[in-house]
Amino acid sequence: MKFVHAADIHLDSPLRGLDKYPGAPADAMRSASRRAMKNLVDLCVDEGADLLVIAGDLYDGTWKDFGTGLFFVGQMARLNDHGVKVVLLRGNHDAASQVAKNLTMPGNVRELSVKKPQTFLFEDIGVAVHGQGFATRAVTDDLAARYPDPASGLVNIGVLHTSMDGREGHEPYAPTTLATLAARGYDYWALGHVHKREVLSKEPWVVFPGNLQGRHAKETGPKGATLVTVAGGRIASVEARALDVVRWEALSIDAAACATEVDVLDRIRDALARAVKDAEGRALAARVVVGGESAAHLALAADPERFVAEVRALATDAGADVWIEKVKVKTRAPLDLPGLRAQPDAIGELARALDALRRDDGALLELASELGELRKKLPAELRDGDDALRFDDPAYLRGLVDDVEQMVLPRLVRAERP
Amino acid sequence: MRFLELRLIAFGGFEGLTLDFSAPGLHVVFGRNEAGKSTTLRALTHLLYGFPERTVDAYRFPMGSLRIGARLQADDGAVLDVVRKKGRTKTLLDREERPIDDAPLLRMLHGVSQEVYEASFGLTHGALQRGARALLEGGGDLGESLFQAGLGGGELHRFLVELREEAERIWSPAARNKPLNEAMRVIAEAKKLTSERSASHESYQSQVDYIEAQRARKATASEERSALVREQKRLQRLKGMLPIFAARAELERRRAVLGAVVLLPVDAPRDRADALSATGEAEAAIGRLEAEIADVLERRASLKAPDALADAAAELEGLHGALALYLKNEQELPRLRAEQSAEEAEARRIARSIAGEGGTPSGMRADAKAASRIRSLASEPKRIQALLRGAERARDDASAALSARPATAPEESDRVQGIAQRLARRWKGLGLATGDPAAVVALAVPSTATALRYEREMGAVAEEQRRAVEEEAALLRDAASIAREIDALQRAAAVPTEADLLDARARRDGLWTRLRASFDEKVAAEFEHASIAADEVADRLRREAERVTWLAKLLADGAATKDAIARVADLRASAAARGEELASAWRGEWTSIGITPLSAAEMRAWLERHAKLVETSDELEDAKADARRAHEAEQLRIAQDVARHERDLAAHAKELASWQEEWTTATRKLGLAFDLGVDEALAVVDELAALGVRVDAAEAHRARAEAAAAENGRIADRVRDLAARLAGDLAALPVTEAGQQLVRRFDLARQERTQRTQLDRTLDEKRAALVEQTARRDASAKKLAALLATAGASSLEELVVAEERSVAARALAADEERTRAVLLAKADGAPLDELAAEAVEARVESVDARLDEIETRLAEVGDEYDQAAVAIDRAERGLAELDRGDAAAVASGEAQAAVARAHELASRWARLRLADAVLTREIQRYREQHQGPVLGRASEVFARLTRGAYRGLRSGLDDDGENPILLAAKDGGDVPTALLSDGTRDQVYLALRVASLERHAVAAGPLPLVLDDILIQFDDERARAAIEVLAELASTAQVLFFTHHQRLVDLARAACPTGLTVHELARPPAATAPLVLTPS
Repeated sequence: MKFVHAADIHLDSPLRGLDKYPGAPADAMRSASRRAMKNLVDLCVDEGADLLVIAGDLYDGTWKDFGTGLFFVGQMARLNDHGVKVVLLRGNHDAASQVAKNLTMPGNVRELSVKKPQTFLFEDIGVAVHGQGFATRAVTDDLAARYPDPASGLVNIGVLHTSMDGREGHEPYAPTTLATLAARGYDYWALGHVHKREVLSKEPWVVFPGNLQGRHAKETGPKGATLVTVAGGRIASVEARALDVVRWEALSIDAAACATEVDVLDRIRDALARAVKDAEGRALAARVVVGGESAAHLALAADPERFVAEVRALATDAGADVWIEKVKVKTRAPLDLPGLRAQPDAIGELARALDALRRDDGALLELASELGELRKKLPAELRDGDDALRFDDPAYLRGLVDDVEQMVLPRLVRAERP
Repeated sequence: MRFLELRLIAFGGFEGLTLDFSAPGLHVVFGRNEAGKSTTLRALTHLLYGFPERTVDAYRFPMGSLRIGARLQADDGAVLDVVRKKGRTKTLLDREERPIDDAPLLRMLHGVSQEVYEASFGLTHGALQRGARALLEGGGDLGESLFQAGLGGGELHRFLVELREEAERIWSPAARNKPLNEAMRVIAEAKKLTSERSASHESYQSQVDYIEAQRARKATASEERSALVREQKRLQRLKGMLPIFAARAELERRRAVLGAVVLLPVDAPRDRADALSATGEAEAAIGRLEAEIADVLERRASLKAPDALADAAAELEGLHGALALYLKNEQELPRLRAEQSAEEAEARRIARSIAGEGGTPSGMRADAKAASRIRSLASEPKRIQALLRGAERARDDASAALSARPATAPEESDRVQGIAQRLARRWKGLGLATGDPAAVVALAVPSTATALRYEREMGAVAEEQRRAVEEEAALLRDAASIAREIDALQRAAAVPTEADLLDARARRDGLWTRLRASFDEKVAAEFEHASIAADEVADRLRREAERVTWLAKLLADGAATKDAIARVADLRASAAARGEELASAWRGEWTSIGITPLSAAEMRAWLERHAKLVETSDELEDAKADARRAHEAEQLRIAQDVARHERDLAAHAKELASWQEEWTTATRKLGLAFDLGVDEALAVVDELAALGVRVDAAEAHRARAEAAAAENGRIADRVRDLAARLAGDLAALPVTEAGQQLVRRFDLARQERTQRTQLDRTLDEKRAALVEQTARRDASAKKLAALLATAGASSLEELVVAEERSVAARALAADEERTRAVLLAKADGAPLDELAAEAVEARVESVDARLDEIETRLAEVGDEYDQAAVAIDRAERGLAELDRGDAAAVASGEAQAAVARAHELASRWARLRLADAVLTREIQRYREQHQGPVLGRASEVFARLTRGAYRGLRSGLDDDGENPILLAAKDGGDVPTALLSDGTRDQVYLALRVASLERHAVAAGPLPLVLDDILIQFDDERARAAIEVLAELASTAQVLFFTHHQRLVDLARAACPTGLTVHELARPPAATAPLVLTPS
């Protein structure tokens, strides 16, 4: 018996951060979540799986297009044709989803209750599936604590959408502990909610499969589902299967040893080549972060637009579908900042003033009033979220001051040499 | 900190150069172009901060050997003596090249990094100009001016402008098409599009519900239509079957009329007729066969020939052919015997002709091998005789030739004579030598190489003399021309001096003092005059500078020319002396052979002629020797020929004797008792061959005659034996007649036997046919009797009637069966009995009425069905349109792309904006804090730099009365710095810079200030003032002033009679030829 465990599909949720530019492989990125979903169904069919468990967040919470639901129904119908059973569980996103509420599913699909813990017995394949979905967007109770006792003689799978005891970047929903889960006596815990794949335990198995398709630069590396093989009433193997169609990578380039912009580009070219190879033929969305104290700093900072264009050209030449999501120049000039701040002259005073700004939230906020006009016009997408432009947040502004320091000081201490 | 000493130990083109900076006061480092000024400047920072990774100064010494040393003095007086090498770590060494800690050096530098040192403590002409230009571009903004001067390096104003321009390009509040404005607009549009493309659940569900209702409507219509169609079909079927049921009733009635019938086989009438005709035919055949049998029996009885003859067929076979052979042999025998006799007679005749009257053919046969040998030997004597004669002639000819030749070689050949004549001609053409040619040939003359060497050396000496003479003449012309030009210059006006200028100015200034004290028209006029005079002197001084330089150059050129003339005269004399030495040596070469030589070139030609003469003399001797050797060789060859011919003669004689012996042996083998000549022997051989042919022919004829006689005897025996056994009556007849009779009788007997066999077979056939016909007649009678019994008839007439009734009954049954089949087919599976019952009930009129009703209803139900189907189709299409695939997701992706772009742009804009704000605020703060002291000191310096043309610098407001700007204070009104001339603005910047540096030195301790040719755009007066200011600054911090220009060195010397050290850099030896300056 085999079953496939997936979660956090966020169907039709767009890839974020991909600013279009000429030569960017737009077609390769299109409909990524749908294509990954098809890959999931193909995996079930090809592997002859008996059951597919989706542990929540099938849809994006705010997403309204019913076409998304119809697409999903179509995919479930394919599984029905191949005799694959499907168990769905609502996560925080599904609880809010208009799409999830109104769909009519084919006969092979069953959804676990959101009102109380429920058990589906599939005696023909020797499996009992237990679980409770989210009735509302924010569930803060430990749902797992009330899950039913295991069914004897069957393989018991617990399905739960949870942040466990807290995971960075994820809302603390349905919190629980490994000990609580282990105490249930199940064979396998099919978790959802956390987008990074993680095997929390092997006795019993407690698995976050990660999301099906990376959606932005922080969701890097292979993404997909977990294929579980049961033999003799026990879990025999648990394997991760990559199903993503677009691979995200963050390429960290250390420019410390680079004397010129060309050296930096050489390193980026090499890193891109490695990432293309790792993506195994998938389209690649890469964020390039150049850092380190480098003699090339001034050259990179002088004309960021041109440098980005150079990096994009490298991507175009990389021989695969590569989209440069962003080029972040975080290099520092080889400047002795403490020494500079000690100087009793204009540059010393400027360096000291910049340094003092960091420690003075009031001054920071006052300085940020320069940005007020733009801030008022920013759309919600730029004001909220992890990557927001938080012009009213001193911590965020401190980051800006760091960059400003690296823009200003190297330029002003530049001298000609004999 | 200050440099006490800088040592370029091994750096750039320098090796071991030491600059002593220990003296107090201003240090001027003077280096003309290529003298290494820039190298020295680099050495200063490399010493303090280490070599950069890539250097251009490793062309004379390899990287690892580069060394710069220095003695440095800290502010507290402590002295540090260090050496810097190139490398990655531990590059600071002591004088013994031991690595030392660099902390003391770092302390001396007050924590100033290399970048800051280069930007703040190094001032180049370019940096000065950029600083001054920034004053212009910044519109003289006071804050920027002070801040820029405080920075030293970097270009503050340009940077600010760049920050603002880039921010402005990205976004501005009211713009529409700037990238960030546009990206934010795209976000809004894409979000709207996403919403528009999203299908809602409600619209989808209502559509689904509608489709369900229409499907139900369609199903109802479909069901009713099916029921109606079923009934319609049933009625139509019934209607079609009604006439058939009527026909079936008629058939039933006819069967009742016919009653009971015996069913006879269908073939019964034909069987009856067949039996009757078969009986008749059989009886006729029986009669005919009995008659034919009687006839055959009669014919057989008439055949009588005996069988014995027919049985002897094997013996009589071939008798006919044997009789023909018998007759032919009887005719041949006499001819064969006659031919045998003729051949025997001829043979006897030939035997006699060979051996005489007593000769007989028997035993006289030619041996074939002996005959062949005789034929081949017969031609030999002629050939051998011919060879003998040929050899004899050749020997006689050779002997004659030998005795005719002279004993010795002839003396004069053509070739010898030709060469002798050539030798004579050459002797005549040689010249210079006299007496015996042979002696001249043997002379040991000098080689042509020797002559050539003399020729070249003498030529070179002559050329040298000629050039010296020419050069001397040219130099003399130059000297004359220089003298003329000096004379002209010296005769022109006197050249003005610096002293003249100082005098003129002192006078002008005195007058000015007086004029200021009390204004006096006269003094004013005088002052004006004096002012003009001072200017004129200054102008002339500048103008005439060129003439002074030119005169000095001419004087120097004159002296050089005179030296050159003396040098050339020496050259000429030494060349003449060497020419004389060479001529004497040349004559010496010829003295020993008594020839007085001409010039080397002429003697080289003579030597070539002499060499030819020697060559021709040698050739003549060779030709004579060749002629002698040829004569002796010919004599020897002829004598050898005579001997060879003698040997041939002896060999041929021996061959003839051996032939004679063989011939005798061969002729003996013919078996004749006498010796034969060649021709005789050949004739006997031919006769013997003819005799053999005759004897063979006679023998063949005899054999054939005997064979024919024997065969005829055998044939006669056979005929007599047959006649005795088979026909006694023929025994007495001759062989040929008896044989022919026997053949004829045998043929007759054989024919009769064949006829009898044929008749016996016919008889058997007829008898069998008779039996068959009898059986046929009996069978037909039996069949007829059976037919009558079956039909229950007692007569043939009754049988016929029964047959007709049977046929009628069968036809009726077939009709009934057909009717039933039609009914079954139309019933389409329904039970026939039920249908029959229904048909009895039904009336055609009521069926038609119901069918019409059904027709009408069907049309109505069909319309209902079609309407529902169309509605479903339309609704399903609507539903499909609601599902626009991932169009909404695509629009959402577009929104995300715009978000990404806007994020990037807004981030950049925020940084640019903040950088601008931070800088602007800092500039303002700096101004507020330092304006007083810095501006005060800069004002003083500026007044001095302009020699009082300006009173100083002060702050003012711009035209809008808002922003503080920098003004140059002047009596006639203050001038914004942006409106000053370029040179004066340089001085403003220098004044600000000096003021800032002094403050830095006071605040953090002094560091050496390195100035690189900053005064080249200053006029002499202001340059001198600047040098004075720098000398003053040197009391606060060490000032190292680098320049390319002698003028500035002179000005410095004039400005600072004390407290000045000038270091002049000599051009380093390898500096003019650096290697390729590729970075390592």
